[in-house]
This record gives sequence, structure tokens and C-alpha cells, in this order.
Amino acid sequence: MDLINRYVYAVTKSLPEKQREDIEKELRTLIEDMIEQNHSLDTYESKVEKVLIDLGDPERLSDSYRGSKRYLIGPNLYDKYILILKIVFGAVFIGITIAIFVDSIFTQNQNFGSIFSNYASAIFSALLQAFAWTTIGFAIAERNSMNLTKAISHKNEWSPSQLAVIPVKKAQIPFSEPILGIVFTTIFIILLYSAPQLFSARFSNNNGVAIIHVFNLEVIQGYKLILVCLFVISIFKEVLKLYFRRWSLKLSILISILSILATVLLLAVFMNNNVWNPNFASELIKHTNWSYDIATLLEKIKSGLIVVVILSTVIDILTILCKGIKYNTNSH
Amino acid sequence: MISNNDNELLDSLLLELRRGTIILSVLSQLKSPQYGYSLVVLLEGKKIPVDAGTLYPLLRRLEKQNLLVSNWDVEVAKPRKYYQLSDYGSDVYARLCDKWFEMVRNMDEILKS
Repeated sequence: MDLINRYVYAVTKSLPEKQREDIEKELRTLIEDMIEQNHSLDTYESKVEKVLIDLGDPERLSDSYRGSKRYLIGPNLYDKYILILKIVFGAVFIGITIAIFVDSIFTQNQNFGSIFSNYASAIFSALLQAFAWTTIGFAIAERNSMNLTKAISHKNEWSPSQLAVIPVKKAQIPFSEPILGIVFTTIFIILLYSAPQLFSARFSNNNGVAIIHVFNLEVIQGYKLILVCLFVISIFKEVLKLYFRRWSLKLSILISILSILATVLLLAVFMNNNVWNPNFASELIKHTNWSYDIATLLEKIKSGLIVVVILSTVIDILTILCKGIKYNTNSH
Repeated sequence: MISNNDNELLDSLLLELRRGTIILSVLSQLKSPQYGYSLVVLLEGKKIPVDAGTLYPLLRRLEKQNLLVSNWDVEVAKPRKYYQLSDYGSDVYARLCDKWFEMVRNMDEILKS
């Protein structure tokens, strides 16, 4: 009896709650029926065993009950997933190396051993994070990929007239564009995420090195989730480019929307005054002999930064939309 | 000499050939209500063996596609789920049969010529 229980459990454990009880009842009756059908003189136990062998691997039975796909990232996206992972890992590696290198140049009293162990643990945790978030992003894309590819390339009812015109050179998205995008995004976000202390001014004085942070380190900790969202959106944008490799109106609209989303998130971080170190100006004055009104200058730089971010996004979107409209020869 | 490999290949080809006929065989037997195992026995008696492990999930799928209707008989010692063709299922079955006979005729023709 115990074997039967275990078998039924193995089949039903990963099925949807709603069907589980029904399937369990049906399965139990089936097993009993099959045992009764065996009129040989075998012991009950060996009859049970024979029946279960007949029914086969419970996981396979479970699969056919479920009847749906059971993978995180399917064959359609797998190649892209591996490619992105490689690029992201490379970029994380570069980012962390820069971070630790710069950090150790300016920090005194550190021996080689502690730098190296810092480096190793930073690389390890950053790779783990990058792996997790990339995978989660792709898993979400996988769940929605059917709708997405259909929406962009009208795959529902194929006819020869939909065959895309062989793209003129300019309509193609060069391979290097999304790759560079991913590398820079990853390096930028990994630095903000795991080494915001690097954005700082440093002065040597009699007591060693004075470090003045640009960001308020405690506050920026609280923005990690937004940074992760920013990372996933930006990577997703580049993956779309990699996937379609040519401009079309729908692709350019989708990418524009993602760009706007990313910019809004970035501004949400930068426009919050608490993110910046409130003592940056006063400490800078303390360590230098500048008589210039640094506080006002910094304010100007900050608003300048925001203007640059918005302007470059607008220009980027306009360029993309122009390409999308110009090369939209996908369908007639 | 037929090697083991050839036998395996033949088996897998045969399996594929059978797979397409399972649904039609099942539908053909469900004009009157049957529960899963009675259907296994019934089909086996007609020399169309179907694994219980294949049949049970299939019955559910066909029910989900509205080809079958089911109800539980709980008044006996062993509760059983009975399946039967729905009106829609009967209609689809009749049309499938027509297609089947046509296919058999055509296949006969190319195989015997």
C-alpha cells in the first residue's frame, strides 16, 4: 500500500491543485483495478510492483497529465540567453575589476591578500546577482515570448507576402550595437549597485587619503531594486535588438517605450536629493582652498546631468523611430 | 539477420504510426460511458492495446477539448470517473471517421500499386 501511495504522490505532487484530487482518485482506482485483473498466484506486493512498472515512470505520467511545457527558458531563447550571460559575465568582470583596482589604489594600509579576497568575493557575489537577474528576465520573457514575437513579426498566419525584404545594410542592427549596450549598462549598473563608494573625490593629506563620496551610500542602498529593474529593462531592450536584427516600426516603438521606462527609473534615482551626499560641497571646500561657490556649481552640474540624460534619451528615441519608419518594409 | 537496432527502429516507427490512431480508437468506444480501465480492457480485447499511462491523461485532454463529458460514480465502493462522447464529440468523431476511410483508401492505393 505504501508503494501505491508513494507512486500517486510522485505523479500528482507537481500538478495544479485543482486537478490533483481528481487525478489522485482516478489513479488509485486504476491501480486497484489493474491489481485485481492479475489472477496469478503472486503475492500482493509483487502484483503492485508489476502494475507500477506497467504504468511507468511517474514523472512521465505527470508530464502527460500536465500537457504543457516545463522549462524555464525554451529552445527559442536559449542561444540568446547563453550569449547574454557571457556578455554580462564579461562586463561584470570588467566592472568589478575596475572597482576594486581603483579602490585599492586610493586606499592605503591594505595588503595584497585582503585586496585579493575582497576581489574574489565581490566577483563571486556580483556574478551570482547578474546570473540570477538575467535568468529571471529571460524566464519572464519566455512566459510572454509567444505573444511578443507574434506582435512584432505577425507570425500567426504566415503567407509568402510577409517574407521580409532582405534588409538594406542600414536597416540592419549591427551586432556590435546591442553588445556594447549590454557591456556599458552592466558595468554602469554594477558599479552603482555594488561599489557606489567609487564615485568619489579623493585627496591626499597628512592623515592619509580623504574620501568624499558623491552619493549618500546608505540611501543608495535602498535603490537596489530600482537598479535591478533598470538592468533587466536595459538588457531586455538589447536582447530585442539581437533577436530581430533589423529595424521595423513595431520594434522601434517597443524599444522607445523601454527606453522611456529606463530613463524614468534612472531619473527617479538621480532626481531624489537624498541620493546625493549632502556634505559633498562642504567637505570639498574643507579639503581644498577653492573659494568658488561649489554648492551652486554642483547644483548646476546635477541639473545639467538630468538635462543630458533626458536629451540623449529623446535623441535616441527619435533616431530609433526614424529608422523604424524608414525601414518598415516588413509587411505590405 | 535483423539486428537489435533494426528492431528498435521498427518499434519506434510502429509506435509513431499507432499514436495517430489512438484518439480515433478511443472516441469510437465512448458512445456509451466507460471508465478509464474498462476502456483499456475493451481496446485490448479488440487488439488495439493502449497503455493506461497514455489513456488516462488523454481522456482528460479530450474532456478539456469538450469532446467528452465525464461524471463520477461515487455510489459504489470504488469511485470511478465515467467518460462519454459529448454531442460535439459525436459530431467530430463522425467527420474524423469519414477522413479516416478516405485516408485508408488512398493509402491502400499507393501501397498496393
